[in-house]
Amino acid sequence: MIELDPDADLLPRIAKGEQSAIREMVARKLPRLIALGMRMLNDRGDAEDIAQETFMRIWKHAGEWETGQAKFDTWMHRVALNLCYDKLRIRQEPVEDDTVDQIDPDLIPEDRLAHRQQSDQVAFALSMLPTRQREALVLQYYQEFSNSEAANLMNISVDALESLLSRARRNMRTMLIESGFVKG
Amino acid sequence: MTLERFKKLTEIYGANLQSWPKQHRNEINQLSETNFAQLREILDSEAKLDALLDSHRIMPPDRAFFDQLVASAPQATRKHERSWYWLTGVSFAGIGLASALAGAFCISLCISALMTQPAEGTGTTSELIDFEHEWIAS
Repeated sequence: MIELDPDADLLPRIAKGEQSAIREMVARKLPRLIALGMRMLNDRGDAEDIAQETFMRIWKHAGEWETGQAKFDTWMHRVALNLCYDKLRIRQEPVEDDTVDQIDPDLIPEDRLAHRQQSDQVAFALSMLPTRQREALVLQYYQEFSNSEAANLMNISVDALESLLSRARRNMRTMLIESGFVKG
Repeated sequence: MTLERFKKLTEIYGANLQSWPKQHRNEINQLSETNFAQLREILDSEAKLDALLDSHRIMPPDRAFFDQLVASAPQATRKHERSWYWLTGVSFAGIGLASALAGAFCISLCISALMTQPAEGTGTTSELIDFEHEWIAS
């Protein structure tokens, strides 16, 4: 069964410069892009850069979009994730290094987690995850992609995705609950 | 599905069964009939982490940024409008040129017709030409 792409009908209208379609696309996708950028990069300015650059690509490719291939939302996330990785490389964060299985909370300075609002504590803990674990958790949990969609986006198997998710959640649990920074 | 497998899947996908892959959800029913209390315990434990993850809220984008992105979209309509104006201009120029040519043709016909008048004529041609000359000059 072919799954309908809920965004596909907007693209030809955007290519014609139809303002209502442009506004609808921004309204639909901007919060998702900001959330993705914030959780991957933990920086509002960088997240807005990612959103802005992704929309430039959307405007550029709207007229060439062919339905029946990837879903538009999946393609958009691929673009945005590549931009996130560019930012991480500029920051010199190891983007492909997934050798860190388990984070030792003792290595995190106590004041980096304590005395923060809970949301900030989670944001900081997310930023401490190895990039691929963070990406898996963000795509599957926060962006609500199915396991096969998230695996496809990350160019890995579903088994590999599940392994990343399991380690990501274990690390988040260690940092946020078992370390006692947040009372679970 | 075994209890161990259920626990492993909970550690991967969290306590919200709605976010589990469908094929795994379908396997739970049978297990829940015999191990409901254990399943509940596993889910409750993982739900604490889910609640923490859910507490990470992202502030929505502001209106100015929204407007900025909308304005950054290609204004294809304006391009069409520009094309329309351009085509309209060409059309008007074409119509003008055609009218001028038609007018010139009529005048030349008139002149030709007048030129074919008997040489003795009435002097109308001279009057006409003089009038046109004055009109252009004025």
